[in-house]
Amino acid sequence: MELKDFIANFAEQFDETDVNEFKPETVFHDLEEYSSLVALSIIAMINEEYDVTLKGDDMSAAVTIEDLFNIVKSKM
Amino acid sequence: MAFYNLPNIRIAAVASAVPTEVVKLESFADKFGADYVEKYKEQTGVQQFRKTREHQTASDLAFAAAENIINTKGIDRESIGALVFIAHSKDYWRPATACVLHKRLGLNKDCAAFDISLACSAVPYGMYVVGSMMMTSDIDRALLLVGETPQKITNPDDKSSCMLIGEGGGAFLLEKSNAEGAGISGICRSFGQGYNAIIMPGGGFRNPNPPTEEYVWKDGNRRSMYNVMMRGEDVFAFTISDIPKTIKEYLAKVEKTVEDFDCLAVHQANKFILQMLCKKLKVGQEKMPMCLDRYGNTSAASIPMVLGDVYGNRDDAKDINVLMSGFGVGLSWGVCSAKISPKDILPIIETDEIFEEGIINTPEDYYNLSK
Repeated sequence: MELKDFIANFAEQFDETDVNEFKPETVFHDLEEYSSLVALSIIAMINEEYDVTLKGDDMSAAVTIEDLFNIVKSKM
Repeated sequence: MAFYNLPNIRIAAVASAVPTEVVKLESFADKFGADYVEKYKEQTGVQQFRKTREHQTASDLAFAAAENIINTKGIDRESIGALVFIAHSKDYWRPATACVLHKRLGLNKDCAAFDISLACSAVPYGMYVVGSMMMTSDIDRALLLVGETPQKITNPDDKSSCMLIGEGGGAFLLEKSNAEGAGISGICRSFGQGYNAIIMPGGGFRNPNPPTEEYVWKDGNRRSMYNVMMRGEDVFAFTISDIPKTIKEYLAKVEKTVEDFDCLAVHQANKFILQMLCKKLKVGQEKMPMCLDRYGNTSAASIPMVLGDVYGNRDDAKDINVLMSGFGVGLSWGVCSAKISPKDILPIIETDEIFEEGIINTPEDYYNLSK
């Protein structure tokens, strides 16, 4: 899987945040729109697209989008 | 595989009951902000839910549902050989709530009555336990009662769940039958490592008297040790992976496909989860009906309620093939299926009845109890 595609999929879970805000180094927990509901959408997207089931701890351990990408990659 | 097959047991009636008070999600706009509430409604699908009065319990709701079955179907109370009540929302630490219900329903002494401590997975587990008891005994008729009132232990400032949870009760009448189409089968599963994914940490014997102080938890919500804490992300991830997997394994075991079922009566967790399940099981949403928009997530009661909501006022002559799945706190989950006549599915009723004599505040109250 490609980081670029992962970021695009990640960004799709947000409605209002500008798409240019999503970069590998983006600290996604700090995005204004990020919420527990968005977190669920991200977990669902990762489950569907990559067949990986994340835990809540994985979501909190990841600081940047790239961190999350690496966690997903390690579980594939 | 904890697969069970009860070839001679059928579901002879289904009923459910809710309290009369309706809480609309808009009423939380002042507290949580209108934008948050709107988004929450959109994603969870919940528009409103029902809430019990003070002292009104899950057993009051289950009682109303059971009475509805007995009266509507003209069931001889003497013929009921077992009553199993499955809930976390029990009346007392002791005795079993099933014994209180046994008294209130006026059942015979020749009747096994006990509780099982489960919630969202109550239906597939209950079918297994009650059906197995019947298969190995001369009990011809039994009541499986469920109910939950989790609003009572949810912090009113917990914006992750106080707008999701509704309250309700349900009843199934099971009967022995040799008729064609009788039979219930299912699978029950558990994942104990997730015991703390949904937990009320205080008040049980492990920690009877922690301080009543409220803390702000990592997710920003206020809760005391007497409130329910749910790690929503973990529960969600578990649901969307393990539930479709278990349903698929069950279907393979009974050599059926989702196409063989008229209705998938699935625990009303939230709209997002139901949509994910539809996608994973490749079924249209019309096959997986929803009542959570009006009643919220009612835990154990959600399966009888969704059946009552769809089929309660129909009297189609043809039996429907129903797949039921319950999942949640434990973590505990299961799936089961049965043929049910829509005529045997009663509509959801409302009740505010409370078992007043059961509220014991003083020794005087106690000594005035009916013997």
